[in-house]
Amino acid sequence: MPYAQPEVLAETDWVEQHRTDPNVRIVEVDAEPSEYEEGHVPGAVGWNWATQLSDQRVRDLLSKEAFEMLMSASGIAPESTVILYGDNNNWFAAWAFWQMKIYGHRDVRLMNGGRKKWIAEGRPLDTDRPSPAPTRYTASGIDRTQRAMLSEVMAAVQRGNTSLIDVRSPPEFTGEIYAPPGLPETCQRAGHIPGARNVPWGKACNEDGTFRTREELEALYSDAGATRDKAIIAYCRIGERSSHTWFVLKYLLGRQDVKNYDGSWTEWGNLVGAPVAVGSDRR
Amino acid sequence: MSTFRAEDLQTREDRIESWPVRITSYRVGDQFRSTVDNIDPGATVARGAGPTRDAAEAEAITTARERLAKVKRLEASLSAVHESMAAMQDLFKKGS
Repeated sequence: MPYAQPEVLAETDWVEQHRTDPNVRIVEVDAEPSEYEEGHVPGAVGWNWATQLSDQRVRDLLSKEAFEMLMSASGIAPESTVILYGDNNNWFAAWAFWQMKIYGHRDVRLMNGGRKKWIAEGRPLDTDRPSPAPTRYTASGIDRTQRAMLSEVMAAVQRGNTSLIDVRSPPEFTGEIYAPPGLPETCQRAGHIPGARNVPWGKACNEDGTFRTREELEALYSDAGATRDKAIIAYCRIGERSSHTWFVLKYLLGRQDVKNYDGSWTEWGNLVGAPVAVGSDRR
Repeated sequence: MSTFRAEDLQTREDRIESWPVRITSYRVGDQFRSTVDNIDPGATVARGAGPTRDAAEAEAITTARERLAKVKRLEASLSAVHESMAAMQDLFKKGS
């Protein structure tokens, strides 16, 4: 069975064939910008997730004006086909995808398998920074239905009628560790939001980083209670892994009511008085 | 514009400071690059580069070891709290 919206994925073959098309703009999105500098898909613009895809004063998404400036400077027009890919199996590219959808960009796609697959396949790289002709991008609006804020998550926990999917690794979920091994600890408490089910993001992917089949994904998320009739909220530590899962649920499986809680564990795990559960979920 | 390709890509799994990791290395031109990823959740922990594969991996592994050695576990945190509380109780006993 095909994905619900297969047009949101671009295979590496397609990207290599179309990377010079005038309407196609390729963007590498990394948490570690040295990855882009060491070599990227020829012609790709580089975005630094930490400094360019969020407000640097308040913890928030880019404002509409800042988003429009980034798109304009990157040579992206509202009618552009934007191909996003990046490090860590597209975690941060998925964040950019999510934000572009919030601001209404019509044709944005993830490169299936991300940077890892492009490199493994021995496809061309270069270190040149392109200088695309700037555009005058105007966002069509802001779709707040893709994002869960703290108050909504709190209400969902109290009502118990929303499927909360924690996409972190099992040791982060159970409370054994505070952050992924080797990454900075950014929360005061370890554990998970009460009632959440643990479906690590990587279960949605094959070894090469591409997405599993729709049937496999359907079984994975339905088993965790993220069924078609439920409202779903995905979260992780800082909202990037859960952007990846949001993408899977919304575009590959066609779930109608799915939101990314980008405050995630760095918000919940630092809140005074917030309930915290430890141990595995009860499946 | 000069393009190049990653060649001789090798990947293996290992453990560093007890954490399962995936070590990847490949050659680009006359340089080798290496990354160490935690297997779960799959984030890059450290990177290295050098004129040989061994040099690139050694740099990445050294940095990864430093970072992975600092992982705080809840159990260890609770033990530290209990030890502090016991020490304080001892002090109170001595003071009373």
